[in-house]
Amino acid sequence: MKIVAIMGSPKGKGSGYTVVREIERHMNDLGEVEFEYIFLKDANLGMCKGCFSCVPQGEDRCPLQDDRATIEEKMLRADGLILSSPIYVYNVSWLMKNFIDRFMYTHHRPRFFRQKTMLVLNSNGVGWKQAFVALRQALGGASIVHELSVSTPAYPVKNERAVRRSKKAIQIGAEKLYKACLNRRLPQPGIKDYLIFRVFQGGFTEAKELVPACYQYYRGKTYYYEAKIGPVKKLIAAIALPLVGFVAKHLL
Amino acid sequence: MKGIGEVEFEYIFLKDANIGMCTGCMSCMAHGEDTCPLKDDDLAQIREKMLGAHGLILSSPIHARGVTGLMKNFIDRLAYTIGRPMFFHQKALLVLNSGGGRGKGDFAALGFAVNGARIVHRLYVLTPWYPLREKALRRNDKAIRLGAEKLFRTCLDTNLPAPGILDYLMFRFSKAYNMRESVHLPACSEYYRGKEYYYETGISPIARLSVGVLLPIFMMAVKDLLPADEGETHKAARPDS
Repeated sequence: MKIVAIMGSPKGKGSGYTVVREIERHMNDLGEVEFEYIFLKDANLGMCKGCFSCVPQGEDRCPLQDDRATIEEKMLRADGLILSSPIYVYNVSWLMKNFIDRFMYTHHRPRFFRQKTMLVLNSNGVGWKQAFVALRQALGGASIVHELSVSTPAYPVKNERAVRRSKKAIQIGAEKLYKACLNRRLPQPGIKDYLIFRVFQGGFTEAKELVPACYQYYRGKTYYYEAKIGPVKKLIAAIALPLVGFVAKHLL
Repeated sequence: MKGIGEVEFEYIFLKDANIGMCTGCMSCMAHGEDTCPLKDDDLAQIREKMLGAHGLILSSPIHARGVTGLMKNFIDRLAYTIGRPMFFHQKALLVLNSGGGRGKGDFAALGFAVNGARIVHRLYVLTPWYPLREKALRRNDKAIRLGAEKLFRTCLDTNLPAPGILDYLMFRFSKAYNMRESVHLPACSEYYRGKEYYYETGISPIARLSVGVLLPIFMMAVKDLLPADEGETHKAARPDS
């Protein structure tokens, strides 16, 4: 089993690293797990310029010729992904936010379907909710199997129960990720997933001159990946899609 | 705004500004912003410019349902103003734009750049990269005009507001929290020492009384987050201990 951990701390090996190492230790107790750490601090990943080339034209048009593609390949080869960031000002760090911005096109053309993903945040105790909202946006198609928050204040805390609780939470998270990674089957799409797929497919086909890269991605696909779509889902989509199209054309 | 009265605009483009990337060392929070390892860049100067203004506009496109990495770094560099708010005299207009994508709490994230400022309006403008319909353009125009008027009007009022019960409770809680942390966050305890409120103002007896009752309850509820009292055996929360 291969896990790639994306480390979003500008410090590199700070409290978040300690937490992820602990996850690694627990997972290795369960079976053979190989960890690879990508420290965004040291990675050759430039600051997003906001040119918006990647979404309509394709990620190979990005003006930043750096290690983005290599990092993507590494992630796609892994069974599991860990995204770790400290919380700065009720949000992920700027470094993690830039990672999210650079991989934004994977929401328009999702791809991390095989990767089981765990989100790991650490902070002095506030901002979990807001930071998870941001971190969930990181990789298009990834199924998030667990969200782990660990309190790592800069000062020693009073409450031993709190310390035990966070140790336990790390162990539970590690077990959950391990178990999820054993299951290599791609999930059967629910009706909502299928509808979203069809809406995007329809929209990008309609606007194929504006978004050639997305049109290419969706062209001729029944779903993002090989999957069986039952007749009921097909029927519901056949009824719902013209409605969505009408609303998009006339009311927005 | 210039259609309403005399207004001088100064633009600071974060893209070109000499603002280094936050290293996450937490020095600013704990020991004061002067101890920032990047203190030789232009952040302090930009902060002074902001403090000298009547109004502030924070503008970011929405990338992946949130502010950009560039804006996030600006917010991170000013993280110490969470512990020590300062932009009390400034009225802030938050401006987000995107091709339609919005994120939960996107405005809240942006607002953290100006702790202490009164956020007078949140303006979202639809700016897709393809041409908009007439109707959408008119809607954008109207929203922009409304935001501008609101910022202009509120900037005329230079009085600092008297705090409500909740504001006062938050102040007292922050004060209590930071005074306990004088060892770990000396700069924050120094900021709060001897302060009745963030700025000179009258506190109503009702606010005083309510907070007198609420504060101990509040402190109990968050006791897990509080640092250990001095003299107690310290146990680190980190899993490596």
